[in-house]
This record gives sequence, C-alpha cells and structure tokens, in this order.
Amino acid sequence: MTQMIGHADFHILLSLLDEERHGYGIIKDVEQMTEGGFTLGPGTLYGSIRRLTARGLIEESESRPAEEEDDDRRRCYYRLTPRGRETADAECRRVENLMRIASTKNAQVQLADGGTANA
Amino acid sequence: MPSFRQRSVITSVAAYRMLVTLYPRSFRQRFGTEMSHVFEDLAYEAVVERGNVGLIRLWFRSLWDILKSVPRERLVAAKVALRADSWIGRRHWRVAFVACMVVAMLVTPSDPLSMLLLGFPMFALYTCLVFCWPSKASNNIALKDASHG
Repeated sequence: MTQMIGHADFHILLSLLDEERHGYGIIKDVEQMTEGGFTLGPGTLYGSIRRLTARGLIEESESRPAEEEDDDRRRCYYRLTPRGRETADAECRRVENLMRIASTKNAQVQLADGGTANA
Repeated sequence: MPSFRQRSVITSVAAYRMLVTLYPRSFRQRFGTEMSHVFEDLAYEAVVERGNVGLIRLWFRSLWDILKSVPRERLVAAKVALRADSWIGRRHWRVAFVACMVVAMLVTPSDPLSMLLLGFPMFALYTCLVFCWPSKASNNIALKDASHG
C-alpha cells in the first residue's frame, strides 16, 4: 500500500524518474516540466527531500552523473529507491484516474448545459 | 575586481546564508550548505538572464519560500524533539507541567482560577525556552537525521 504524497514531493519524484539529479537540477527540471507553472524554492525542495528520504522514497547517490558540469563544490545527487518508483507509479495512476473522472464529469455537465439551452 | 552584478550575487548569497540560520539546527546541518549553493546557482542564472530585476524577483520568491518552509521545519523538529528518547521525553513534560502547577498553587493558594491562569503561561514559557535553547535534544535530532540519510 503506497502513501499519499504532496504536490512538491510528487514533482520531485517525477523529476528523478528518468535520472539522478542534484538540488538545482531538480528545481530546473520541475520548472521545465511545468513550463514555469510550478517553481520550487530551496527551502521547499530540501524540506521535501528530507521527508522523501525519511520515507525511503529517495536516497543520496554516490555517483556524480553530470560531473563535467559540476564546479569544485561537492554537489549531492539524489535518486529514486524502488519504493519511490512504486509510489510515483501509483500517484501517476491516481492522477490519471482523477483526470478521467474530471473529463467524464465535464462532458456530462456540458451535455446537460447544451440540453437546457436547446430546451 | 568584481562587477556590480557579481557583487549583488555575492551579497545576496551572504544574506541568504544568514536567513538559513532560521531553520532548525538539524535541518541546517544537513541541508544548509546545499541550500546556499542552490540559491547561488539560481542567483547567477537570474542575473545572467534578467540582470538585477531577475535577482529581485528571485528574492521575492525565496523570501516567500522561507516564510512557508521555516515554520514547517521548526514544527517537524519540535515533534521529533518531543519523541526523542532523552531527558526531553514525555515524562519530562509531565514533570514540568506538574511543577508549574505546584508553583502556581503555592503562589495563589486560595484561588484555583488564578492558579490555572498562572500555571499555564508558566508552562508555555518553559516550553518556549526549551525549544529555543540549543539542547541535547537538538543534537539527538541531528544524529537521527544523519542516520536516516
């Protein structure tokens, strides 16, 4: 049974689905995914990282996938755990179901509105 | 010599580092440096793309972010402190509450209402002091967080 996760947490999990990233990488990826609609600040980001790490959904990675882009600072990379991947999948399915329900409801309402207008 | 823009970024990062001290110690020890690095990256990017206007926008966003996240992290740290297996555990709070009530009773022996009116604020004050004081509990939180990571 997977637990419910918050908005920021879900975006971070989605960002880590395809590759390991550091904090700045996650912020930029989330911004790109949502076309600037959702931005994470460092405080929110690391609050979520603390929560997700404590729940065993993500973990620190020893590897440095984008080493050539790094400067002399030791950046910390994060990756999904198998449990994190399961949670992200479950959340994706939940959102898909929600979208399906919403579009069905919307179609019903539009149909009803059309019927009333015609009458 | 650094340009005006570089100086604004350097000053901004220094100011942000000071604001990071608002977070609980355990959180700061674990993420403080990384947060400053991320802010520095964001600041350089903002300045390169939009100049000082970009930096001002980043500051508005960051201040809002700090306002939202500091109380949340402080609450989490306080909850962990309450659960910690140290002198600051539940038994300690019971003893502190009873002690406050006993002191209040001694000060106002004939008036139960005054006793409550004095006892509860005393306990609230003591709670504030315990959470603001850098104590053994904060170290325990840091150790617990480090072992989680």
